[in-house]
Amino acid sequence: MIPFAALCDALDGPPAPAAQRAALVAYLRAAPAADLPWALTLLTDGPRPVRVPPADLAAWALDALALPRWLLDDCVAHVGDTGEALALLIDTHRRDPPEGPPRSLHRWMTELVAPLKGADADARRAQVLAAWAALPLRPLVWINRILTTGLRLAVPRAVLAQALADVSALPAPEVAHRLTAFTAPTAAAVAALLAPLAPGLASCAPHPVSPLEPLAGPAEALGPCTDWQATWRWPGLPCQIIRRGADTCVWTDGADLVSDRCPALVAAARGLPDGTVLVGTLLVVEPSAASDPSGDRPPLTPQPHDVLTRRLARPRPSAAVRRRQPLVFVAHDLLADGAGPLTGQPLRARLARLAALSLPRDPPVAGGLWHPPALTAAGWPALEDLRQAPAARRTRGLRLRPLDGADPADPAYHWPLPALTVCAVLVYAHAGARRRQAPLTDYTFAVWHGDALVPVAKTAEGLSPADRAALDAWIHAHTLDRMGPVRTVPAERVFALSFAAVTASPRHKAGLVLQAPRVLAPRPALAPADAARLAALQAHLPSAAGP
Amino acid sequence: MPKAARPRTPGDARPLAGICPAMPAPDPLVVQGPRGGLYCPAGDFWIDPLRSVETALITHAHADHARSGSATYWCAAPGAALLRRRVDPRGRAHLNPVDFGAVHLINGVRCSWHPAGHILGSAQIRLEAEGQVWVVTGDYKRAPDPSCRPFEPVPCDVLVTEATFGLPVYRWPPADAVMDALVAWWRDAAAAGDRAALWAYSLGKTQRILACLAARTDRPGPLWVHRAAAGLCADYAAQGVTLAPFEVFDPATSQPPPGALILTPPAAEDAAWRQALRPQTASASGWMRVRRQRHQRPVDRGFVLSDHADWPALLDTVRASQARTVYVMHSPTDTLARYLREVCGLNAGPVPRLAQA
Ligand SMILES: [Zn+2]
Repeated sequence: MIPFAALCDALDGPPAPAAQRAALVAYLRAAPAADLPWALTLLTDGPRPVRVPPADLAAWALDALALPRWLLDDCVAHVGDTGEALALLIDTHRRDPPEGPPRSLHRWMTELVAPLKGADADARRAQVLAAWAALPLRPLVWINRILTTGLRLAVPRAVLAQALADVSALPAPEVAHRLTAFTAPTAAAVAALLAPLAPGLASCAPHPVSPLEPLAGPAEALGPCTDWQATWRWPGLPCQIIRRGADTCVWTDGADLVSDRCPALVAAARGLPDGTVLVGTLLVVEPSAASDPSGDRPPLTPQPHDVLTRRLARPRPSAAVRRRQPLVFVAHDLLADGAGPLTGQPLRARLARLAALSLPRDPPVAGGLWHPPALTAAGWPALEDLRQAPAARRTRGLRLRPLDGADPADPAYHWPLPALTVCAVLVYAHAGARRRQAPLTDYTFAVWHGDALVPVAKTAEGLSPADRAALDAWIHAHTLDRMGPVRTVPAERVFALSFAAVTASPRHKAGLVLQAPRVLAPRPALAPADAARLAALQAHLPSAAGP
Repeated sequence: MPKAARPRTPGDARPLAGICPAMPAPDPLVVQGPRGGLYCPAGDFWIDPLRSVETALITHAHADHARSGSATYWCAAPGAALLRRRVDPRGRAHLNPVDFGAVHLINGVRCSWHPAGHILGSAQIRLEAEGQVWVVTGDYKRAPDPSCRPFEPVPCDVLVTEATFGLPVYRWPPADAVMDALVAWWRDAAAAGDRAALWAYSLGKTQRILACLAARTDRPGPLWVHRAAAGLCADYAAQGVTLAPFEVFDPATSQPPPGALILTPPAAEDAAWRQALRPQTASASGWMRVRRQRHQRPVDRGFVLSDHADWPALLDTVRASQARTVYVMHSPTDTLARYLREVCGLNAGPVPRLAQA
């Protein structure tokens, strides 16, 4: 248990992939084989044999140590975690060093943790007290964590896969894929995880795709519009779906395997031919559009990016989560199909093969695969009109790729949306780090709705350090009210903000929020009454008809 | 199961001085000043004042206890050079170094300095007047430290104790084991061809570590000490403390080789040299015992090594003092005072304020 606790200490803390990988490799090389099933189950936050309420642990410890409850409460407030506070308290009040020979992780898990399930309260108490007496401090901290909340070290799967690849000579993507199926702490599961590759098995790794360059200069300079594939660039993550035999791998950002996060997509992809490599964008959409009363083809409304990252962080999404946050894969390229790789062929030919897969062409509002129809634009001016339309505001702009390009390294462009601007009034400022001299981290800006100011954006982007210092000095001198880190200031100062889009947000009093807001400049000549009205921003909300 | 079922109770339970009507509490010998520091009305002097005063009795030379600007300083002799360097480098003030245990009469109050084991020359100050004995501990520790005289318990009626770590989650592992772990970490860094950088306070922690390392033959590489601490190291050496040999680390110019251990104050941790040398990093502090605090520091490793008293040491010290009244300073919470009141049956709380005196 001591080596595993040392590993947990090394993995714990702010993300540090290189150090985490090195610590994992050192542990995996040295750990007894019997410990591996449990170590991997705990590190992947797999199913736990037992959960003990922290209140039970607290009651047992206070009783055994004859300490008052308030003393533990003080410690928990200071430490921030009941399990850790108890471990420290027990260690402080220990008279003798931990008793008994050290036991390995699997013995602790099979002889202590697993038998707690189904045991009555007295037996649980006796078992846990005996374990506390036997364990040194660091293992004690981690055992309490395992019993109460699970390990929750948030080691990225890619890092764990890389470390396992380092010790097994398997490709890391293969290990990542196998890890999605690893749930049982058994020797057989570890054997399956680390089994040698079957000969002739294709790789499940994502293919390299060239990043988009921002389009500099007019689109006309690219030549005839008909030589280019134009697709909407949705606010999501770059994604590849790979079919291999019975397996389906869903990769995001070129390295993160999320297949077990999106069972509906995996099911939808099951019909695709063996060997298919789809390239596209993964996004979470608003499910409400499904009941669009107009009866027209319902458009997609992407949910904010942080919803997507949180959705993908959930190991086993419940049915309710999957319903509330449906995932959509928007396909825009095909790198291989059942007949083999297409990477040597021009994009035009790849798109023909993509069309032949007959993916759904209507937006799947309940989630699923989507191959949107080509943007039919008669020349650059028509595309420019699409780009300027309010409906474009739910996307990040256009993606332009040469139809005759066969090389993935051919330049591809991102044609961003034209920036929008608004004049808004500073209403709040937010303190950041606890250091008293630290600059304020964010400023909240509001526009008029009737005779009230409603916040629409929070940002400090765009202000130079000198601007911020001057603004902070004014704020410190004029604060009307403080609630925690938030200062209310007089509605006197007007700023020009730029933003990329307006999205509906029921959580905000304004009912909307600016995307990617940036402070352009202070507008000292403007009176607060000259700031924008909410209706002007509402006009930028994506309308029902759109891409 | 841990066997400390019975809490530590300093002394036996007698009626409390503060609440026994037959025995009204005498006037306090020491009160809290309005802007930090302690004031002794009977002797009209201050202990560890945070502003300029006529007469300042100093427990030790750390900046939160010793400030410049006062006319006369009293301190324990081994720490006099440190105090001079810190508060009065131009020699304008009058500085009275006194031997440990020697009694000096200051405006009618019998004052003496006793080892506190915190840093070189750190002292508890014992005050005797009006039939009472008070002891102000200043910062102290009970763990072994080859760079200063160990703490000596001083019996008293009223103990004014620090409690920086006044919560029962704090108990220090044996200092030897921590030094073993520290050297092992340094050895691993050296074996990997890296430099090791350890954040340690420039006064006290740095010299304690150097003194511990001086006694070891298993140092895996050369030692470098941040120039902010180098002069202080000379003051230690002048007092006969044996420190491991080191080179002075100037962040702008020095190039410690791979395998070196660099001791540097925490304030220098974000500096550019860290980008250039890419050392493996660690912090040595009592706060490293708690995960949340360990993660607030941008370091790879945390070593639990403190120059303050842990919870058992605080309780031991209260018991050994035989004081019936304990005032608690520098405590993050009321926990220790409440424990002494409710569990140990003592009169305990914050130091009385000047206004109430
Ligand atoms: Zn100190």
